[in-house]
Amino acid sequence: MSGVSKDQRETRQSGEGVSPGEAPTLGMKIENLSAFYGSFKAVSDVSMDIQANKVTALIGPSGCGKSTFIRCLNRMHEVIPGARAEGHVRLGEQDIYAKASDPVIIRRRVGMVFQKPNPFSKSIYENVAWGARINGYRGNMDELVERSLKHAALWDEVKDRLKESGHGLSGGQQQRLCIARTLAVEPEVILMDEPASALDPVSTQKIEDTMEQLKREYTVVIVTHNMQQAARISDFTGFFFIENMGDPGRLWEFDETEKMFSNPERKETEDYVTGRFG
Amino acid sequence: MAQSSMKAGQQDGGPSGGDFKESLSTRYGLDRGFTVLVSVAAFVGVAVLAVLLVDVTRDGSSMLSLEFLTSFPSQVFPENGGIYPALIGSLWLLGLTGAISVPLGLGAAVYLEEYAGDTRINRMIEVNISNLAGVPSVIYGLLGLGIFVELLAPITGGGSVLTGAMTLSLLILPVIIVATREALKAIPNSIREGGYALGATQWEVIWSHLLPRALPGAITGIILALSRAVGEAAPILVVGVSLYQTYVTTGPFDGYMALPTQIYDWISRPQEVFQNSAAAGIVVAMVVLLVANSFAIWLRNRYQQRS
Amino acid sequence: MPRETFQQELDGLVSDLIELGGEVELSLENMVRAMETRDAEVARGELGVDLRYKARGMDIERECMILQARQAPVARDLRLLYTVQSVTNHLVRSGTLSEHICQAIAETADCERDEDLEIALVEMARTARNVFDEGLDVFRNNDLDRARDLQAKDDKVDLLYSEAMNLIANPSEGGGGDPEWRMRAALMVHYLERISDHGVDVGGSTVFLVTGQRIEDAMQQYLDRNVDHDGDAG
Repeated sequence: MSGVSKDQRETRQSGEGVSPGEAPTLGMKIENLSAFYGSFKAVSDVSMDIQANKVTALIGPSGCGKSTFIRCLNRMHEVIPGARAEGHVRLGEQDIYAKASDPVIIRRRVGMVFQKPNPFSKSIYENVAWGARINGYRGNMDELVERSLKHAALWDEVKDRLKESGHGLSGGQQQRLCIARTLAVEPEVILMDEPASALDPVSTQKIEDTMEQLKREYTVVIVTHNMQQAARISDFTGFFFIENMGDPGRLWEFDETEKMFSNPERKETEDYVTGRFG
Repeated sequence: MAQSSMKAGQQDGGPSGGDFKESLSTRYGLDRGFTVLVSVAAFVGVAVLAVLLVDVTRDGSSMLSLEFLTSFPSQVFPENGGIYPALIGSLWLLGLTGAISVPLGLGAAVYLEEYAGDTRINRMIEVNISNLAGVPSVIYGLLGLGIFVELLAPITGGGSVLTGAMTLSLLILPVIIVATREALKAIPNSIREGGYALGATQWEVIWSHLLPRALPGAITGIILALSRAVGEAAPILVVGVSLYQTYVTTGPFDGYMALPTQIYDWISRPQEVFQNSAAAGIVVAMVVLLVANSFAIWLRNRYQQRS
Repeated sequence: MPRETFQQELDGLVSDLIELGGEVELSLENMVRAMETRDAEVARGELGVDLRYKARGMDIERECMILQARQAPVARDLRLLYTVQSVTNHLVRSGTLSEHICQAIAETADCERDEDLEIALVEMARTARNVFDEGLDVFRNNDLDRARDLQAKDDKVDLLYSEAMNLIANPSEGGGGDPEWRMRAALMVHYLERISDHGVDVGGSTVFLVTGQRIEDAMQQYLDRNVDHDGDAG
């Protein structure tokens, strides 16, 4: 069922024999994805290619469906009562919306970091370890926690207080803790829904630096309202747009970030990135 | 620009915008008055409780002793009478009621809050659970009588402490369910999402994150509920609490006496010794509740510190 | 309108640039006239203008820098600021070169000339001025079609340049004129070719501003397409 072979999965779960960069990273291919809240169509017919080991940014005005869309990529959208999605999203070879696909497994392979940091009411150590534990990790947990915190650029700041509550950290640290716990379950893709919008500039910079590192081993998709951030950190950018109020959001333009910010094709894209919108 | 009228007693001559009518003295007066009112209300509550405690302790002091706690009640020698079987019976009731109602209440609350969809039936259930808390407790006694005592007699042994506990559980279930649901509702959805996003099942999220966070609120409800249960007389009278036993409850299928009914029995007798015994019984009941509540509060604090 | 202040600042920047361009055009006009009529007075009138142009150029560049720092421009705004800086440079350099030519004219006013070379020089001067004016016009009007034609005019100037260099290397039979004048003439030929280049580049910058593509790339694309279709070059 999974695009990763059973042996690879088991090896990864046991924590041995796999070093970062060896685990295969997958891209995602979205085909005609539409998302609904009950009868209201929020996102219409989006198709895009998310390349492996790259950062793809999704920008667009408020209410144009970017957050809804990104939540469809790990089947979190349907957690909301009455919400559903149609279309195909391929993670490697597997269509995550196929009947045989298990959302629980998908959500482990496609991780998500949310806008407002939401660490669990547990110790820092437990925050990182819990996800791995319930997914059956049988390797050295201490080592996994340390590795994940290091990847999230948080280890040095918390290594002496792993037993303290996750809530005692600053906003930026909490967000990196959330990144660390996502990394601990060894996903292939990491989704980020405006991960730095609630943070101060220094924390934002740290998160952006982390993303630079992350893309070496994972595929990253990020929704952001901050255009300069999208321009700084992404390799590809997708612009979502709504023509009239009440319309569903569509993917209006998708291209390399350089092009989107120096010479976009469509007028609405240019109006948006130059701030001439509205 | 129009000058606002300066009110007598106004202290600060701030900028006088025409539309603002300063009335600081009235406002401060109201502020102080309200503070006084609220303090008096609190004081009244505490004072009444204090008076009750002092009164009861004074009346019962003559009877309170170790013998009182370890003797059976006696009509022949009332001075030597004690509360032993009632105390044991109430402790059995407390324990069994807790054992039945807490899992049921928590489970029902978790189901209704996390699993049940927002359908008409579920909304009806939600409304009616709150209503159930207002039903007179004797009705529960009648229900218990019909089902637990008579219908299920082979299993429950008729009017046993088990049926008493089951009846009391029905009575206090709504309180536990409502308190637990409120505690679960108060948990922000971001916690659930954070759990699901790591590839957890619904149960894993509930067990690891929601229940621990909801426990302080749930325990508060449980404390209130069990305290009420221990103090109820009417329902257990209907389902067969004994007013006199020569033996002490040793198992769930045994008969039982209870503190509230024993106290009631004593109070209805005119002799002073019985009045004093009743007062002493009330003191014992309050001590039992105090110990039980303290334990529960300690438990709650432990969980609150964890989160 | 969103970012109205920014838009006004951009518009102001462009109009400052066009104003500077107009003045440089005037300088070139004077230069050509001085050459045609051998009028040293007119030439002397141009001395020192380059200082003014340089100062104006610096003002414009400073403004671009400030806008870039404060407004984080992207897409067309970014291309505009980039183009403005590029065009400013071309204008200021052209003004400076024109001033150098006028200086040379003034200083060699009494020298003997080589007739043929002088004719070639005047021709080059006229052409350079025309190309410059054309380039500036393309920028004023964002006229992409004329930008394409401008690239072709560059070839004409290159031809004139080769001719002139030839004449310099091989003085005519009637006498090569004063060596002092010949030397200055060589420099003037060089400067005029540069002015023409600047004009062409201004046109090319406009193409970048409007389309986001460099004109050389666009031309190459066009040429490649032709090769594919016809099977032979060009």
